[in-house]
Amino acid sequence: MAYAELFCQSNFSFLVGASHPQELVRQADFLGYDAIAITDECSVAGVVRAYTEIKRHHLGIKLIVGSLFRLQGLELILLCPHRQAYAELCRIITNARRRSAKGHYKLTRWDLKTVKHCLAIWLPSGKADIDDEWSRLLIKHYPDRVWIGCRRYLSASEPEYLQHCESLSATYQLPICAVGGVLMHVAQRQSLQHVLHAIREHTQVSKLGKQALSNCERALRPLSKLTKLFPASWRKQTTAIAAQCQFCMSELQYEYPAELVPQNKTPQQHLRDLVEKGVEIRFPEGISKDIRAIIEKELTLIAEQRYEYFFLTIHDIVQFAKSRHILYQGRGSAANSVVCYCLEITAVDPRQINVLFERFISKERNEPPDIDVDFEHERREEVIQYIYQKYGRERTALAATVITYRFKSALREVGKALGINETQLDYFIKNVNRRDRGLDWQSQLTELGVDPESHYGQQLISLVNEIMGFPRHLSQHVGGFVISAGPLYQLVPVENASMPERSVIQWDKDDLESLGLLKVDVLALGMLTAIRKAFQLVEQHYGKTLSIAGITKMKDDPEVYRMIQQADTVGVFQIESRAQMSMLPRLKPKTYYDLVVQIAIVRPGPIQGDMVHPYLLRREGKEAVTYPSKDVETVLSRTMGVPIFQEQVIQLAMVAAGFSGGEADQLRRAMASWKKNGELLQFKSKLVNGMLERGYQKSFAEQIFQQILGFGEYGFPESHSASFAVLAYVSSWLKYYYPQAFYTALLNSWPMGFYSPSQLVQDARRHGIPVLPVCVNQSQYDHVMQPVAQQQHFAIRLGLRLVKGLSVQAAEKLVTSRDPVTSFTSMADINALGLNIGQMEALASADALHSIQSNRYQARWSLMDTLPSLPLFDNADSEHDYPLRPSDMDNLLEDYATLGLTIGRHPIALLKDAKLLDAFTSASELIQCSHKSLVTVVGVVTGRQAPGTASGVTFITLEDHTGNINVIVWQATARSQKQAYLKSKIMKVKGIVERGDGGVIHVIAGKLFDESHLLNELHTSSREFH
Amino acid sequence: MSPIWLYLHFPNLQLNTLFSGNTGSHETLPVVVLDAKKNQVCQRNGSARKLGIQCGMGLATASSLSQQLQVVSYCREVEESQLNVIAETLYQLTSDICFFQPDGLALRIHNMLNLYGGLQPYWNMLREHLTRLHIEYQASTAWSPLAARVMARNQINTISDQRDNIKTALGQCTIDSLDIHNKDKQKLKRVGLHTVADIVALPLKDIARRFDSYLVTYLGRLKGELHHPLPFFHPPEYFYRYLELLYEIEKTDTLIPPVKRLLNELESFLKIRNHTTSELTLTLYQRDHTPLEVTLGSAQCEYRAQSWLKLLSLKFESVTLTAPVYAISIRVDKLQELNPVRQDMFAGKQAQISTLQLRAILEAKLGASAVQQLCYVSEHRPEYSQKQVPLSDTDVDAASVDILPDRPGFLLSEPLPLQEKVTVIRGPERISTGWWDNQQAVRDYFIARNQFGQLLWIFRTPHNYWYQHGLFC
Repeated sequence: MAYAELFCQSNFSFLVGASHPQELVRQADFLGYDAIAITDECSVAGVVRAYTEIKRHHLGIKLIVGSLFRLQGLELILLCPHRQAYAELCRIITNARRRSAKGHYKLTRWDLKTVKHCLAIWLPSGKADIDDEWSRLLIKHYPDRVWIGCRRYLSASEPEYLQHCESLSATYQLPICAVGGVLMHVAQRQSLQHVLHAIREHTQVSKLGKQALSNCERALRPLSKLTKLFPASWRKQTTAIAAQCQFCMSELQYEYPAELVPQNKTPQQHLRDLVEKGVEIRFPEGISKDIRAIIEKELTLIAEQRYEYFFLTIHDIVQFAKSRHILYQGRGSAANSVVCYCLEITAVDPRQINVLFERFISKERNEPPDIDVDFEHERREEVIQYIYQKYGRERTALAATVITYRFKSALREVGKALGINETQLDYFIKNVNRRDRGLDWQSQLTELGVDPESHYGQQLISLVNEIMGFPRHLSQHVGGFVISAGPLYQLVPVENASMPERSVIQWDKDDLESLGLLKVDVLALGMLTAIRKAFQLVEQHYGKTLSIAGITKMKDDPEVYRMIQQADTVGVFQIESRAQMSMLPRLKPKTYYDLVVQIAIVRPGPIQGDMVHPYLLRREGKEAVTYPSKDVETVLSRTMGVPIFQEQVIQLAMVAAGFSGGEADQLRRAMASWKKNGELLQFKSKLVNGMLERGYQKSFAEQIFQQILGFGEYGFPESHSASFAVLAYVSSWLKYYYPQAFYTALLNSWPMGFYSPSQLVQDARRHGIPVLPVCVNQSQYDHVMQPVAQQQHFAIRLGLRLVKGLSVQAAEKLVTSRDPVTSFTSMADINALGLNIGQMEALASADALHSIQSNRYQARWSLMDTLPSLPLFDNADSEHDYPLRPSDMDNLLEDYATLGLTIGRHPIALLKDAKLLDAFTSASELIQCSHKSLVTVVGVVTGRQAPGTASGVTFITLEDHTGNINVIVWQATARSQKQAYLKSKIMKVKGIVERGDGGVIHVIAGKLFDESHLLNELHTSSREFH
Repeated sequence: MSPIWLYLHFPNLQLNTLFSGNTGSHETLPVVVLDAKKNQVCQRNGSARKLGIQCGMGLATASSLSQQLQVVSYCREVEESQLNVIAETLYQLTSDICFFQPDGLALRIHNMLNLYGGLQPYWNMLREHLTRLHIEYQASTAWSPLAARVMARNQINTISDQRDNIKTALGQCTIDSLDIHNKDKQKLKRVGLHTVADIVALPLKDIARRFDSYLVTYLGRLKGELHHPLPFFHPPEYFYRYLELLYEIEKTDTLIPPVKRLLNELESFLKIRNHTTSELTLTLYQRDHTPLEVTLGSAQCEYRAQSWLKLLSLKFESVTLTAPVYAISIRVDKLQELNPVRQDMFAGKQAQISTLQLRAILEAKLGASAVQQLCYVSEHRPEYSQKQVPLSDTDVDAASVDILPDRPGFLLSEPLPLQEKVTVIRGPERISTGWWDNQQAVRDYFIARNQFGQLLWIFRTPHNYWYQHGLFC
């Protein structure tokens, strides 16, 4: 008995289908179906996953691509017999989607009439008048390509409906085929389907009533059952239709935009010419044999894989950025090649780092090359507009991101569907700590009063579990563009994004990868903006022209590394976080490659995989570097035998466990998504057995697998780390040699990075850089470098951009109307600018009028006066002096409120002088404290970070007038002193000094005190990272 | 005589009205009142305070400080009605009472002081009454209602008629506690003005040049320089009390203590007015159900709580709660003078009655829920597809439910095992649903004919047991 399921909706028919496409094809294959069509409503978003699943597990089942459409009582399934029909389907979906807002579609009769290739299965409505009308249209436009699809759900009025279908069939000579109308792969998904239905209807399952499915017949059913339900002729039609459907997703070939290559050249030639041109720019002194050999090898590899267009596309984009002086930097598996260096996609000098392109792009792994290009965050839009303009909107769109149910959304929605009231759900959600590694969320819910034995508790927990990972809707990828030669809608449906003027395709980056389609990632990076601004400042004030490539060419600078080793890296790219900073004095990076390791090692992956310690020990020579085999040595020698990068883990699987290229690629993808689907575990036996067969110890194999698990979603690839390390080095270099330019540029690029302007300014001042206040007579809109005393020495003059409530326009007006010689001398001058009162008050409170008025209260008070605005009183400064003067504390509060920072006295210094604080140890004195001594420290809480890795530890950063103090709070301490832990803005900590390797100093918190009451209006909002 | 106003601020008014059967546990369990709109704690009891829960805190933070936190939603109406109760009580002492909704009362008292022999004796008397109400308060006196209000809300409990005392106390109050626009508060603070004393020190004309007339008028009234017209309270002609329970109560006899408290209030209400009543309505607010109204009539007019309580306990025997009760209220609309003329009880006439009248009488006698009709429910499981609802339940729309043609007219209340030979003539219809309420039904239904030619609705279970569930007409 043969059967093909031609009507099946996956969970990409959002809130309708209750199974993943993967589950559907697996189950259909298991049941022995010949073929299965995934026919989501006006969508093909799920088909790639189904296709990939079949390919991965070498399933015997055939996949048919199709889609369900609804229009005025008509339900029609279109199936794709061949590539042309597929293009047609994509066009129809695109048109229907583009007519409608995001997430909806609008089909028209015209769409249906233009279908020339797709096969159609019609699901009659059961209403005679409607069905008669549609059958006439279908006969006319779908000659010999339309069937009546009959479903059997064992519902009450089914006999009459089937009779109706049979009479339609007889009247109009339409053949009948059996269809399942499948919504779930197994009957057990019925409850989840009910829940999804209730979520869709914004109601509760118990209130769905007869709208809900009455039984489980919309699951994939065994052939034996189908034989009983459907006549043989109906079943035969299904396989006949399936036989006509010869289209396979693998036929989709990406066609690159042709205009990238001049007409008389082949892409290979053109790429080679560009590379040769680049060689002259990058290696003006000529190139060595080695590098020539690498270039040839890379070009051959590119030619073999036919990746020329991909490199040319990116080359074209970065050339545009270059012409506009937009700073950029490429990263990703293919980016760190000599070819990319020559094409000016990256600035990593290959002589510096000795990385092998092969390591990043591999034939046997057969993964598409990955190049992400970061652009200045303030100017990325220019690049995007260039792409749209060059290729047209028809040919380019963003990749999708599938938004799935995560724990909180899952609990909230399932809870509502089960009728749990919302305050209760809020309570659960707010009190479940997903970071708590000791207790999973199920146990935490139990602690919060859900009885896991009760019917209700079991339902809630199992349904939340099931729905997690279910897609909710499509969103747009941050910057992944797909560009094609012809209209994109012949390749994949395109729909509207929520952002106006953006469109997204229906596939996400994994789908694109599975099909070998290329996307170009155009991303935004704040640090690039800052570096470009710093370069400009250096050029302006020191007359030196800098570039990223130029700085990396100068070889590793020991002075810069000395600074990095001391963790003096506030504001520096990547290595500025608390965790990174505490590792720097231990790892003591000396070279570029050390930075590559540093960036990748302080990640949850290596930390959970327990790779940090062995690496440190081996680096310090305290542990011998050994390898279980020669093969392993080739993979791990650059990291002293410890796997640190994602690529190494994949390579290990290949050389040590005998994974094929394809299998290794699957492993890589499973690692990327394992938290979602738990797919990694299926690789365990293969990996461990493979390694045992090749003579490795079982313990070594187990350890590698544990490391893979630890890497999971957090693994960091060397190819990205290598590019990040360049930016980390360049920013450190700037910080060391041109600190004024560095801080000024950072402040002018904010928001970006890890630190607030306040923290950056504090750091600048600790480096002896004078910071001058905002002033209407001195400041520009941006922060600027201002010469002080003798030349070659600069102070940072804070800019008007810092003043909250002052618009860009107002600031510019002020600057342009200012006479550099006479400047503003009275309130009347300021009034004459014609700014609105709010803007002027903002200036007054920021004390930007200090050169005109004695203090900010006085300035504001006279601005508030409504009388002087009459011309008659223009110069009448009759107002007597305002009696109130701001105290230090008032100034501090006003500074924080208006600027977010103060260059006056630090709050802790003020509290100390006011004798509000008991004796304490300041940050600068902490160095003198011995290991394990008891201290009391106090400071403004500027950071509260609970990394997912560090089993319940929270890092709190306290800032006092002398520097930052790193406080470590253990989970038990945090739990028992919740109030102070959660609420303090100013915190006093009694604890123990811990001095680690390389002079890292922490305070392990014992007792926490909330001292916020001392300054309860302080507006430093601490940045919390969860 | 210069005016003196007394202001009473009730910071935890809703919290204080929550009834707790056991005051001991009331104190140990942390309770907060949550302003759901802002998601902020707006009132909290002593143990919540001890745990560090503060007003203005978000629910997440508050609940992270205590796992046992009891949360009650803020309800302005509760406070308003409670404020009425307080005003009624204080009306015995002072005639000029003004409302500052939802949590304050201003009393004009200088005209009462002669009667009571000075401020202190008056205050003592007032305090005694307040203590009996078990409601937290802050009180202050000043020369104007606004000044007294600001002081009370600043927790400056100054009961004094000395101008200097008042001036000093008022001067300490912060700008934040003034009833002025937030915008103006910000403006004042941004020029360094933080207390009432700061503002009062500035010449009014300088302020007038910088702020709108609202603020200037407000300051004038605060200082007592400008007249502040206010409407005075007039006691209502009916009795109404609402009481939210701290715990949900499921048995009627446990309801007696809170009801008694309301009846006591009724007694004093009636006594003060020299009134009685013959009918009262007790409303029991049930979780997720419509409130249950219990109307008590007494042949003889009555004011004593004890007598009403006796009647009520009798009535409670026939009252069953469908869901836990979270609040109760008592309402009395008809008040009568204490010695009313007796009605002639034998003057009633007999007459024919209409269906509607009959229904009304039945509902009155048996309770509205006892008179029922049958209606359809949108539900796949046959045993839940119809239900009995009170005739008075108007939101049942039977027509809205699709009735399938192959459903029997007569459904057995319990399926019976099939014990006769039948011939299946239609089916199966598979029903397999109901996982959510643990009443899962998995059945194949058939229409079958028995040897008498009757059409039966039968079903088969997965274990192949056959049952009869209905009969076609």
